[in-house]
Amino acid sequence: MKRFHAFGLVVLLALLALPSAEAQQELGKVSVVVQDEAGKPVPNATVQCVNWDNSFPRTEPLTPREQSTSDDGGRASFDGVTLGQAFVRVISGDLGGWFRVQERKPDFPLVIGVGHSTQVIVRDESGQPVEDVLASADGCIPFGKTDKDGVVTVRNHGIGYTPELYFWKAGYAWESVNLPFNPEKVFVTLKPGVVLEGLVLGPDGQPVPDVDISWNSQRSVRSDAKGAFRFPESAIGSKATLYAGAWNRQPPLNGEVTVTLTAPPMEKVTIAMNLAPTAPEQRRGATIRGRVLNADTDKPVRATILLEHSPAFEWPKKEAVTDETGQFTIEHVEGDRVWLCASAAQPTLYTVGGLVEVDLAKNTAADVTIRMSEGCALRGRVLTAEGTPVPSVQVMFRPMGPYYRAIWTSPEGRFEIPGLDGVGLSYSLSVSDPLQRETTLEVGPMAKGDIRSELELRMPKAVQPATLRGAVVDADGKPMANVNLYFHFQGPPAEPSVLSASSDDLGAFSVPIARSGRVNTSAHKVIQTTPSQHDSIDCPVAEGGVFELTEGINQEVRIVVHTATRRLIECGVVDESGQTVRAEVHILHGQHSDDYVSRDGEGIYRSTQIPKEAYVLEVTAPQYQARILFPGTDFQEDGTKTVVTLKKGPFAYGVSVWEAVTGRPATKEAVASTPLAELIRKRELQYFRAALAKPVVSSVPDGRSVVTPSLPAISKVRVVDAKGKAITRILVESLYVDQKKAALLPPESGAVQPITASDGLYPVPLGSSPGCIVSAPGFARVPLELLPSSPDGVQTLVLEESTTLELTVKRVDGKPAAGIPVSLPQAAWYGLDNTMSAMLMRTDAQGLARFTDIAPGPRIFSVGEFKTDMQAIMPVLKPGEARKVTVQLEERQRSHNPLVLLQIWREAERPQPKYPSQKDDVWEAEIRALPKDSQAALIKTVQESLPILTIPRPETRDPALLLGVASALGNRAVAKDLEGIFLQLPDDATGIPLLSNSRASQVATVITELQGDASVPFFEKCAQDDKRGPNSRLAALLAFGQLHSGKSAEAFARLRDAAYGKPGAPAKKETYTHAERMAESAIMTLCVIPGLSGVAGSGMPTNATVNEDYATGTLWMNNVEIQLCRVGAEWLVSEAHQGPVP
Amino acid sequence: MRGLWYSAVVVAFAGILCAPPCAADYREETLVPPIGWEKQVSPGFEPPVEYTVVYAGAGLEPSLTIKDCAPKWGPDAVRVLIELYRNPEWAGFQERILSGIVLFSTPEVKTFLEEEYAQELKKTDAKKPAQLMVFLSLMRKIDPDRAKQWVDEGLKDSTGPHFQTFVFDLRDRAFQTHNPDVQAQLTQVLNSLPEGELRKALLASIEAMMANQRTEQRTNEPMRVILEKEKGISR
Repeated sequence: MKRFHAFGLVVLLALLALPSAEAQQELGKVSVVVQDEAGKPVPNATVQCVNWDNSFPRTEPLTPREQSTSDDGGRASFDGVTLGQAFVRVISGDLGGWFRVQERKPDFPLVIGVGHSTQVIVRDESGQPVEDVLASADGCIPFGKTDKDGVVTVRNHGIGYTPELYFWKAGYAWESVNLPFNPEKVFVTLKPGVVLEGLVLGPDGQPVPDVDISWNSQRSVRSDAKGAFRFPESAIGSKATLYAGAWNRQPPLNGEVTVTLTAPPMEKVTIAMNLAPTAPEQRRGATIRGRVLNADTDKPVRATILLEHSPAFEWPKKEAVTDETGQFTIEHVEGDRVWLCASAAQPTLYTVGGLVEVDLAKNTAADVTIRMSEGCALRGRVLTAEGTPVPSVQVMFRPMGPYYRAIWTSPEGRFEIPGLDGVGLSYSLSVSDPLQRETTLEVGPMAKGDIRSELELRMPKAVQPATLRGAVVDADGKPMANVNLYFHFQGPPAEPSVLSASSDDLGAFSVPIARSGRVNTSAHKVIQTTPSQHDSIDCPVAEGGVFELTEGINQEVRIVVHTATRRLIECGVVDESGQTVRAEVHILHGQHSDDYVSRDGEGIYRSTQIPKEAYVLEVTAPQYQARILFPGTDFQEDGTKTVVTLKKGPFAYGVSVWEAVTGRPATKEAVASTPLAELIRKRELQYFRAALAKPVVSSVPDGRSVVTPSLPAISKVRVVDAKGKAITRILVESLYVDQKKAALLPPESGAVQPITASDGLYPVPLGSSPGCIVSAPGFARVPLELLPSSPDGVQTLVLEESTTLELTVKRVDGKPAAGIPVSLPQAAWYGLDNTMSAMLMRTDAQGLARFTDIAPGPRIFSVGEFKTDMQAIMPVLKPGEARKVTVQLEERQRSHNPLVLLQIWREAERPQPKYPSQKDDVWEAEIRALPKDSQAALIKTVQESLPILTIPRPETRDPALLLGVASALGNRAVAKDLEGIFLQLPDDATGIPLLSNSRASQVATVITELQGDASVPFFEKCAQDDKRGPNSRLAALLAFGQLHSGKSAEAFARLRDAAYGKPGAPAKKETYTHAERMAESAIMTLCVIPGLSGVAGSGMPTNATVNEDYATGTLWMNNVEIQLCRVGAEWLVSEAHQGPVP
Repeated sequence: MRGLWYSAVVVAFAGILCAPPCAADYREETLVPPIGWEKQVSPGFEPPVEYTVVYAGAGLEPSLTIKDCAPKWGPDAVRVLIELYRNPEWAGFQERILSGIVLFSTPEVKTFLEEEYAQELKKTDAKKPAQLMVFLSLMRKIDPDRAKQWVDEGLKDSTGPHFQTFVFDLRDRAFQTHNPDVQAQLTQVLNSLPEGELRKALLASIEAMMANQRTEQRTNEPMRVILEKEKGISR
C-alpha cells in the first residue's frame, strides 16, 4: 500500500541529487490531441490535466483550470503545468484513458479506448462500507467518491496507463492500491487516521517557509509562508520521522523529529532546524568505510561499490570506488540498513556471498570488508537475424546468482556479465524480441577465471506481426470484461509458450500473433481481496478453447466462457446469540483429505482452494455442536458470505448427531445420498465428544480422580509488560509455520497486523491462523500458544523488552566465516534435513548473523555444519540487551574447546545413562583426561549454560547432555549452581506431579550425585517449603530415595512425622508390614508432603513386591509404578513413573 | 510340587475381564453405530444404555461408563445389552457390550452365556480364545459348578486353542483358590501333557507365578522381622 515504490524512489533520488527541485520545474503550456484508435480526432471529450504527483492523495476536487473539452480537432490545452510532469485523463462516452505526458512537444497525441473497469469496495475495519471516500488516480486526479455501499468504479484503465488508486476521507488513514491483472473488484480497508500538523522553526525560533518536509524519507510536503505544514491522515499508532531540509538557503538548515501518531486531537509537531553542512551531498546520514579484498590472496581489489537499501538489489547506485589499498568510503547513507556489492575492474571477480548487509543503526559502519573471489565472466553481442547489432535489449542469464542483475546491450549491441560465481556451471543466455520470441545460448561449464568473449545471440527473424482479435462473451452472448486470456501453445516447448490478453469493458481483446501453432485457451478473472492478495477465478471456456494460430495472418476468435465459476467460500461463525465463535473450519474431501480454512483478522473464514471432487465444509468449536455444510445448499461458492450458527453443546439424549450436524434426516437413504457420508458418520463420535462441557479428569497416584469444573475457553488474551502494565497496541503475525522459528526471524513483509485495545485485552483469535507471534514496538516477538481454558477465560501474555543477538562466526584462521548456517537447537542433534527447515539464516560475508526483537532468556543456537564444525551456543539474554557472541570454528581433532566437546558428545549418540542417574562414564573418563585448564573451561561453559534447564520445552536433549556432563564433572560449584537452577524451575501449574521424569527430578538427581548427603538439608528445606509447587517438592523427596542413606532416611522421617494428621495422610500405626510402610511412604511422598490435599489414606488397592534382599521394592498404585529402597525401618521412594495407559 | 500350591497367593485375573472394553477403546474411532440410533434408545434407562455403549471409555464424564451406570440401571439392562449384543448393526460394539453384561449375575445372563458359550465352542478356528475365557469366568461368578463342568468337559473333549484355554484357566484357578483338588487336577493335566510347546509354556508360567507369589509374600511380612534379623547380624 503506502509502499515507496521503485518509481517514487527514482524520482526522489533525482530530486535529492539536485540543488533545488524547484529550479528544475518549468511551467508551461501542455497541449494534447485526443484521437480514437483509428487516429481520428475526438471532439467534445472531457480532458483533465494536473501536475503528476503521487506523494499523497488529493483531498480536493479538480479546479476549473484543470478541466477542459477537446475542440473539433480533438485538441485541448492547459497553462501553468509543469512540463514533463503532466498527467491527463480523457473521457468521451465509454472511451477514455489515463496518460502521463512526459514529453514537451505540443499536440501530444492521446489515443483513447475502452480499457478496463474495476469496482473498488471501501470498508472500515469493522467491515462496514465507507461512503464519500474521495478516490483519485495516482493521488492526483480525483475520479469519484464511494457511494453508500462504499463502491466507486475506475474506468478506462489500461488505456495509456494504469494508475495507482488512492482513497481519502477525513478521519481515516489514506490508502492506495495497485491494479495488477485487471481485477474485477478490489477491496480496500480504511483504518482510523489522524492528520499530522506542525511548524518548522529556524535556529532563531522563527518559522521557516518553503521547506520540504519528508515523511520517513519518502513522501514530502512543503511548509507554507508561516512555516506550517500538514500531512494528510495516516494510521493512528504509526511512527514517522519527519525531516526538513532547506538547502537553497544561506546558510543551509536542516532538522528532524520522530513522532508516533496518536488518536486525535494530536498535538502539533515542531521541527527545529539548525545549521546544516553547506552542500546537500553532505547533509546527514551514516558513513560506511571499508575495503575490498581478494578472498583468495587477501590483496586489495580495485572495485566500484554498489549500494542498495533493499536486499532485492533492484536499483543499486554506484556509491564509491576503492583506492589502491582497496579502501572505500561512502558518506551520508540514509536508512537503518543497506546492502553493498563490489564490481571489480577485473571482470571475473565476484562478491563472496552476493551482498554484504550493513547495519547503520549506530550511524556509522566502519571496517566493512567485502571479499571477492575469482569466478568467471561472459561477454558478447546481440544481433538481428541479418547480423545487425541490437542495442538496448535485455540479456537474461541463468543461473542468476544471489541477486537480480539487469544486463542491457550497449548501442553497439554488446553486453558483459561480469562477476559470476558459477565456476563449474553452465550458463544459459537468452534474449527475447517484442513478440516474446526467445533465442537462447548455452555456455559452459565455466572454469575459474574464465572469460567467454564474442558470444553471439541472434534474434529471431523480424516479422510484421498479425493480430488475433476477438471478443469474450458469456453463454448468453453478453460481453465479459476483465477476463484475462491465456493462449497456451501445444506441442514441443518453444518461446513464447503462451500469449496473453485481457478483455476490455466491451469484452474485446487483441494480441500480436508471435508464432504459429495450435493453442489451448484458458480464461481467468481476478478479484483482489487485499492489497497484496488476489483470487484468480477460473472461467471454463465453452467455445474458442482450441484453435490454430498462423503467423502473418490476422485472425478473429470468439471466446465463450461460463460465468458462474468464481469459487470462493466465505463464512463467519457465530453462536446462537450472534457472538463470534472461534471455530475451526475444514474442507473435507476424502477419507484423509482435510484442508484447513484460514481466518482473516475480521473473523471471516475464506478459501479459494476448493476441491473439484465432492467436499463438505466442517465447522467445529469446543463445547459447540459441529456443523457440516454442503456446497450449493448450505453455502455458495461465489463468495457470498455465509454465517454459520453453532449451537452450544452438548447434544441432548435422543438427538441424532448426524441430523444435528448435517441437517439431513437420520435415515439410510439420506446417508446413502450424502457425499462423504461414511467420513461424517465416523466423525460423529468426535463431534459428540467435542460438544461436551468436558471436565478435566486427571488421576493422581492414590487413585483419586481430580475433576476440575469445566472452565471457560480462552476468549481474550491480556497482553502486559514485565511489570504487568497493559500493552494497548500489539502487532500480530499470523503463522502457518513453526512458531519457535518464526519468533527468531523478522516478520514476513505484510504479515504483521496491528491491533489496539485500550485495556490490553484482545479478543481471540488474534490472527488468521492457529498460531501467531505477538509483539509490540520495543518488545520481543513471542509465540502465542493458547491454553484451552482458564478460570476467567483470559490468558495473560507477558511481552518482555526485546533483545538483539549478533553472532560473529570466525573460520579456523580467524577470518569471518561467510555462509555458515545458524539453526534451531535440534540441528545440533540431528543435522539439517533436506528441507533445511531448522535453519534460521546463514552468516553474511562478514561472518555475521543477527537476530533482532527476540525474547530474553536462555537460548540455544546451532552454528555450523553437523558432524563438521558445528557448535551450539547457549547464551542467556537479558531484557533490552544487545549481545554479541563470537563463535570460533575449529578443527575438531584435539580441540579442547568446551563447545566443540559438547557437540562431539551430542553427535556420538551415546546411549542414555542408566536411569535415574544422569552420569555417563565415558564422559567422565574423557573429562578426566582433559588438561586442568580445559576442565576449568568446560566447567565454566556448563555453568553458563545451565539456565537452559529452565526452558520448558527445548525440543532437544541438551538438558540431559548438560546434566550428564555436570554430573561427570564432579564439581561442587556446579552443584551449587544446580541448586539455584532447581529453585528457578517452573512448576507444573495443574498440581499433578510429573513424577520422576520431571526436569526438577533430573536436576535433583545430579545434585545428589555431586553432593551426596551434603544435599540433604537443601532438599529437606525444599520439600517442606509450602510456597513451592508440588513438582519440585516431589523431586526433593525423591532425592532422599536416590541418596538412599541414613541421613536422607532421617530427613524423610522428620517430614513424614510432621505430615501425619494433614488432610489425606494415613494414620500412624504401631507396627507395619513392608507393604503398609511402602504404601504410606508413597502416599506421603507423592501426595501429602508435596501439598496435594484430600488424599484418601486407606483402602486403596495396591500391589507391592519386595526383593529378596529386602533392600528394594516396587509398589503399584493406580497405574503408577513406584520404586522404593529401604534404609532401616524406612522405605524411601526413589522413582515414580506413570504406567502405560490401559 | 504340591507344597507350592499351598503357598500360592491370589493372582489378579482381572486383566482378562478388562480386556474386551480396553481393546475396544483403541478401535473406537472406526466404530459406527447404526444411523439414527440415538432416536431408538431403549426407554427407562438414565443415561440410555446405548449412549454408554457408544461413548463408554472415551474419556467422557465418569457417569457415562457402563460400570458406573449399571447399578443405576438394574438387571433390566441385561435384556437391552443382550439384544444389542445380538444385533448385527451393533456388531462392532460386541466386546464393549459384553463388558456390560458381565456386570450382572442373573439367570438371564446365565442362559445367554450358555448359548454364546455353545456357539463359541462350535467355532473351529477359535481366533478369540479370550472370548471363551470370558464366558468361563462369568459363568464361574454365577454358577461355579457349571463353570467347573465346562472346564472338565473342555479338558476332556476339546483340542487346539480351546484346550489351551481350559488348561490355562485351570492354572489360574489353582493359584487363585489354593484348592488342593484344583491343584491336583492341574498336576494331572500337566503330567498327561506330551513334551511340547504347550507343556513348556505351562511350566514356565507356573514357575513365574510362583516366583511372584514368593516376592509378594515378603511384602506382607512385618517389618520387624527383617529389622530383628539385621540387628542379629550386626551383633
